[in-house]
Parts: sequence; C-alpha cells; structure tokens
Amino acid sequence: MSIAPVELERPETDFSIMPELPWVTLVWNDPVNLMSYVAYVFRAYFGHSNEEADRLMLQVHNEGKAVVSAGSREEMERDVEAMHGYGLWATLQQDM
Amino acid sequence: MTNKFRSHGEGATLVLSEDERDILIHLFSELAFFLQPDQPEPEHTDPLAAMVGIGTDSDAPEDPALARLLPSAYPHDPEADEEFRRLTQEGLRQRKTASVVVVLESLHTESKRVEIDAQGCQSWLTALNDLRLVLATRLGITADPASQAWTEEEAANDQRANLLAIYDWLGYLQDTLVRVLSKRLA
Repeated sequence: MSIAPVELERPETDFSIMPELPWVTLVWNDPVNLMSYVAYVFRAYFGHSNEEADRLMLQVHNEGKAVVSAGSREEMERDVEAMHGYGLWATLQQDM
Repeated sequence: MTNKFRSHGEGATLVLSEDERDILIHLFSELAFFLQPDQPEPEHTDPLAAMVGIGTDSDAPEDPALARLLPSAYPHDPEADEEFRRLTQEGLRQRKTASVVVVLESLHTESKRVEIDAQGCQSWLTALNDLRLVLATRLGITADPASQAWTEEEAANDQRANLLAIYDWLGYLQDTLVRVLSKRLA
C-alpha cells in the first residue's frame, strides 16, 4: 500500500539562476599610511575626484574601513592586489 | 632636515646631505634584502607563469613587517588566501623590489641633488611607503594606541629615538612627494 504524499514538493530554489552577490574591496585604517597618500592613491588608481577621494579616505580614517570598489570577484582581486602594491591594507569579500 | 621633493619637469628633485643620502641607501638596501623570499624559488616549470609572477610562494609571511607588506586579501578564508598569494605574492614582491632598486639607483649620484623622472617618482612613492610600514612595525606603531605607549626606559633608548626620528622624516619626505604628484592629477 502506498501512501500518497500529502504535501506538495517544496519548490526548490534554483541558486544557479540567482544573480551572483557582488564583491567589494575594503580598505582598512592603519596608523602609518599618510592621509594625503591614501587620498592620492584613491585618485590615481580609481580616478576619483579630489572630493570623493577625500571622503573615502576620511571614512577609512574615522570609521576604520571603507568600501572602495564593487564588482566581480576577479575585478576585486585586481583592485586588492593594486592596493597591496601601494601598501594599503585591503581585503575583499562578498557584499552581504 | 628641511629638504623636500620639488617638481621638476615631469619628475622631481630632492636635495640631500651626504648623511641623509647614506641613511636612505642603508635603509632601502635593507628593504630590498628584506623583500627577498627566504628560500630561492624553485625553477619554474612554466616560463609564462614565471614571467607574470605566478609562483609557488603561497605562505603567509611570519615576520609581522613582511606580513604588512604582503597582507592577506582573505583574512577569514585560508584557502582563498593561499590561492591569492600563489597567484600574486611573487609578483608583488618583484614589483616592490623593483621600485626599491630604482630608488637606490637614483641615490647613487655624485650630486647632492637627486633627479627623478616621472616613473621614478612612482617608485619613490611606494618604496618610501613600504619602508615606513616596515619601520612602523619595528617601532610597534600599530592600530592599537595602547601598544604605542612605551616605557621610559625604551624612550631613553637612543636607537629607538633615532629610528623614530627617521620614521618621522620619511613621512615628511613622502608627504612632499604626494603633494608634487597630486598637483599632476587633473
């Protein structure tokens, strides 16, 4: 004797069609890098305006970290590597 | 120590006393040595990988100063960290070393006036920063203000005081170079 299922199958979420969560590059505060230098790096590498570079630099300084770029994992690894080249303390992670 | 970088064409100049130049040569030579991997890299089986700086160097540095120069991209994911280091660390070491070599070459001049071209300015900028990162780690200048306090005995230590003075001077020098280069970003 078979027992008919009383419940419909739960719809399964197809994760493969969900858009991939974006990745972000974080720059962390440290007491060594000059504020002028950090702002310069944000302008030279990311092409930010003076104002935007200063805003991000101050966010790093005051809040301990700032998201400086977002995109694919590969792009963020490239940015992190570049930041390490400049001696900035950068990490990447998936944006939650 | 009141010298600073001055804009000169597309590059910059820096006037140094003989003592100052000797200090810089000494410190940057140490930095170049410091950046070398402990073990000579085994011969690459893949010449292309060797050319683009992909190596077998995937261990996180144990020395805290070196760890600051080659930080973790994935502090919470050891596997991804190791893979990222394998792909990037050797290249990063090579580029940092190349910058220090450019700086050392420009310091080996008979003249008191060091002349640096546009590309050389970028090398000076990052090499000065890397040098300050290493000195700061040695001096115990960290993100934690409590650990920056040192005992009177330590403060009286001449070597530490000298190193601290040099660290401050390097910061001043770097800031003048940042000012020169910032004006060139439109």
